[in-house]
Amino acid sequence: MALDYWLRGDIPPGPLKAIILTDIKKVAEILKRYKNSSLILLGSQITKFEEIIGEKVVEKFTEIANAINSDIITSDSRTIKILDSLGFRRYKIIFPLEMVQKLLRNSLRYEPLVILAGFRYAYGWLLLNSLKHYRPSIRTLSLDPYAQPNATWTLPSLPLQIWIKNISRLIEILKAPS
Amino acid sequence: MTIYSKLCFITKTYISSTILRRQGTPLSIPYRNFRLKVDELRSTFGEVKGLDISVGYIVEEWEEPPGPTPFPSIATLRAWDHILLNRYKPLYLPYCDLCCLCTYGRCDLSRGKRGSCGISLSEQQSRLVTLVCAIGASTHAGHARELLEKLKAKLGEDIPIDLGGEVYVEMPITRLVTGVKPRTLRDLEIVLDYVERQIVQTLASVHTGQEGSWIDYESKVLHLGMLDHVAMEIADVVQIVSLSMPKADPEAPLVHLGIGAIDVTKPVILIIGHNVLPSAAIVDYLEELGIRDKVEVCGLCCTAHDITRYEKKRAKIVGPISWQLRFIRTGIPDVVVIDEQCIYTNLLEEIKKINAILIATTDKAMRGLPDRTYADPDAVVEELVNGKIPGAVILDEERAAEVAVKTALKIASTRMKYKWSLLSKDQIIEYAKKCSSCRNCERNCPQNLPISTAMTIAMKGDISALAMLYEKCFTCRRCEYDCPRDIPILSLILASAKETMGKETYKCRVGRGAIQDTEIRAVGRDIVLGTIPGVVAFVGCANWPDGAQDVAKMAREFASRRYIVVASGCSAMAIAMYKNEEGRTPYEEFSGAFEAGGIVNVGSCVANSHIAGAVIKIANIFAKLPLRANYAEIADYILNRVGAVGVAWGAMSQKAAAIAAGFWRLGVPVIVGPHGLKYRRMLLGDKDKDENWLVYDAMTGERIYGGPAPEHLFYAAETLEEAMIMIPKLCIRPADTPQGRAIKLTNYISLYKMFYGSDKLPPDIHFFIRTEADIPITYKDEVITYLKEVEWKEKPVTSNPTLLKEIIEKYRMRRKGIKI
Repeated sequence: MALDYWLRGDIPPGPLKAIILTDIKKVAEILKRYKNSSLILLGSQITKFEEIIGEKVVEKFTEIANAINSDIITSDSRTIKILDSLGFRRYKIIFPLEMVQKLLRNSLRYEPLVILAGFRYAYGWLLLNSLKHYRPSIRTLSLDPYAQPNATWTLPSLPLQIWIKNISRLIEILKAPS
Repeated sequence: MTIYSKLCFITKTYISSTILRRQGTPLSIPYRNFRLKVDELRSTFGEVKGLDISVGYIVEEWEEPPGPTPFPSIATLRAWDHILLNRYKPLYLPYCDLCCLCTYGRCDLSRGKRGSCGISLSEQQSRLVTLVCAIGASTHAGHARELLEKLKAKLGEDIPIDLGGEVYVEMPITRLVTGVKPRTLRDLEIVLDYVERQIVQTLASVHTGQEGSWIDYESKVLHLGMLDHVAMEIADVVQIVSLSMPKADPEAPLVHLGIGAIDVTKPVILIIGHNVLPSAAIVDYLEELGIRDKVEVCGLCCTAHDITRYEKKRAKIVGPISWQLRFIRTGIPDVVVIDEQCIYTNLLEEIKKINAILIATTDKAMRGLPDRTYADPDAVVEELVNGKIPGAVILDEERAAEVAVKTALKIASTRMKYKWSLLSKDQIIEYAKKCSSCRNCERNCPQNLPISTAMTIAMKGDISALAMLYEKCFTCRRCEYDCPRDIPILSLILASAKETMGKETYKCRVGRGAIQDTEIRAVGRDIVLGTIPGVVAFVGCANWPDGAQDVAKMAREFASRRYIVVASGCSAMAIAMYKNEEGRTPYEEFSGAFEAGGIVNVGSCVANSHIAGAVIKIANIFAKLPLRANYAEIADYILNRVGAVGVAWGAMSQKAAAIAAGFWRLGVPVIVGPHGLKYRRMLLGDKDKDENWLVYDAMTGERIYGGPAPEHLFYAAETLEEAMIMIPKLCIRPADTPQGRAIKLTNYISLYKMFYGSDKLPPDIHFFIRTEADIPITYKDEVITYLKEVEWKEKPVTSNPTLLKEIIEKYRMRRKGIKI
């Protein structure tokens, strides 16, 4: 039986699976739709991607955050150091599990688009599944290089080099005058 | 009715009705055992002389008056559980959206749907956690049963429960839960009977159409956790008293740990698992032959701890559970003996590849091998040596030991070519060239290791990136199973790291067992007042997200900060796998005493009971609270006053889940690593809801705000730094003195600053500051400025917080000297 390439090595979670976004323009459309009402959650692996591919991944996410007026939520010390060095002020240090708890208990009093990137695969998978079932009104978008089937929308699984090119292209589209 | 049956009936009725009346709920006290001796009896139904009837036995009475909840059943402690669970509610993280446990299904439970039986997704998660904990508890109970029966049969049932001269409260969990003060192995029978019955009763609740409420499933999880702790205590105490393991010795000897420590010039017998009896038999047999120094005996996982606790000198620890395939693929072991629990299930295939021999010694893990328990040992050795069978089941330890030793002596010389027979650098590069960079291996790797990138570098001749994966890989082989080019990826990683493996030689302190009562007396006051900032227990399996050294880093950091650090199981091994600048491991660097700044290895998984026992003893010995069958009061005391936290950074198994559940019911929070999120739900407090943090002042009866302390009961941290910040926070307790609270907050703030920058403060610090006296002096100006920003207001302080209303009355009666 052939498996979709983004599911290789993955265990399907159940009947509700993410929409795979293979066209980066679609991702840009979604982000623009949620301009001013989104949150970017960055996990600890984001700086590991930097190490592996030698690109400034955190900086790219600050560009996305700036383009859509989003806060960054993180608890990774290396990411925080980079954000500080970039002079990026729109970030909050919140542990991911406590952030999900806030979202589930509606502590924010609005329903943002929650964008995830840089989480350990299973950790992100489970956080997204909690949101999927218990706050279905919150839309989620995974910008990880691995497909996350419990998000509302996800990028496909791609090699890091191709993934970072897509992220760069996404930034170009977001910055381009509409 | 005969005289005998009348007497039995009378006795049964008396015992059961007395206890049932006291509690008001059906209890499971095993009342069937008793002895009646009558010299002379005259009655209407006859005359009896010299009657002596023994039906089982009755456990001797002891000086402490019986408490309210002896031998609790599922419902007995439900009220306490509900208090905990209403404060620490589950945050569900479903691992599967379906239920496939019965033929009504499969049922889709997504987004509020219910299954054919009526169950919801949340209830299903709690149900599965119940199942997981039942597996864990039954595994420890099964282990305890085997040790108890075999050692009673071998040594007699009158072996005294003696855990050392300074241990007077010898089995605090057993006393707390059942009310029994055991004096000999015989007395443990009644306790283990109770545990087994309760596990069966609780497991039955998982059947379709039984429990249907998340909170009652979670209460059952806590019940199973408590039973698990009793079972662990029995298992460890039985082996300590029967096999002369160290008895609460802070200076237990240091032993060798690491693959590099194994002498490959000798025949090597490797034992994997958790049950020490086969290992002990092997050592005894070698001693009997006078050739102990001629054969290398080493262990993996908890058996390794226990064999060193037994022998205390020559036996070596290879490493934790995840070192199994690492070590076997080096080709070093000649004979592999398995006992029970956490053994790689496809081990036989791996052992065949290196032409070694497998001997299975328990009926729980027979691995399809032929049973040779009753065969002539010499004939079995011939079968094994000649390759007629790849291994054998031998369910008698002495026979298994004889076969293992004789086989190892015979085949060792013929197996020298397999030792350290890992792939050469050229072979690694050739295999790497076959890689198509499909990344299936990465997607299937539980650690998401960058295998593809390492392969790309290796195909150009540089194997260093592959070698770097070694530290984080826990050798599950899932990469190999998914490789479309059949590249033996794990073997490539191991071969690349051959040099590192060969240098793995560390020193681990032998598990000491219980904590002395005198040690508890010395530190109890400081722990309760908060001036010792906490007790941190590093426990559990080897599913570490970034390798073993993270556990050692945490242990060293908190010992240096004068926390009391305790450790067990694979985590206790991980602590040894670190050397400071002087080349000393933490066990050489820090004291082995239960004191501020000590690092205490209690032993294997079942020795976790001594950690729970130490926490209980703080309430009993220091605070002088009644211990006997007084569970809720003791747990309430621990939750509100004893700053203890468990860290299971690599928790993997069902046993680990049950152990954690036992700590939750006792009021001790547990932090797990990122893989721990797969336990399906966390138990989180919500600090924004003031009403969740109300406590009674036991002296005044007033209901006051006690603060979010401890904030969570079960928490999965994504990163090491998150865990290290969470540890001091979860050691905060409502009863902290201002001085103690300031010390705890100093650690919380300083770790936060260490990771996130000196200009930053934890944004929730105001929740934990009750009065200005709580503010750490080091950060006073900064904190006061922040408190003004957030419009902080003073909060009440109490030194007698409780969540149990009935404690107020108990306090009043105790103050007046009224007997309760």
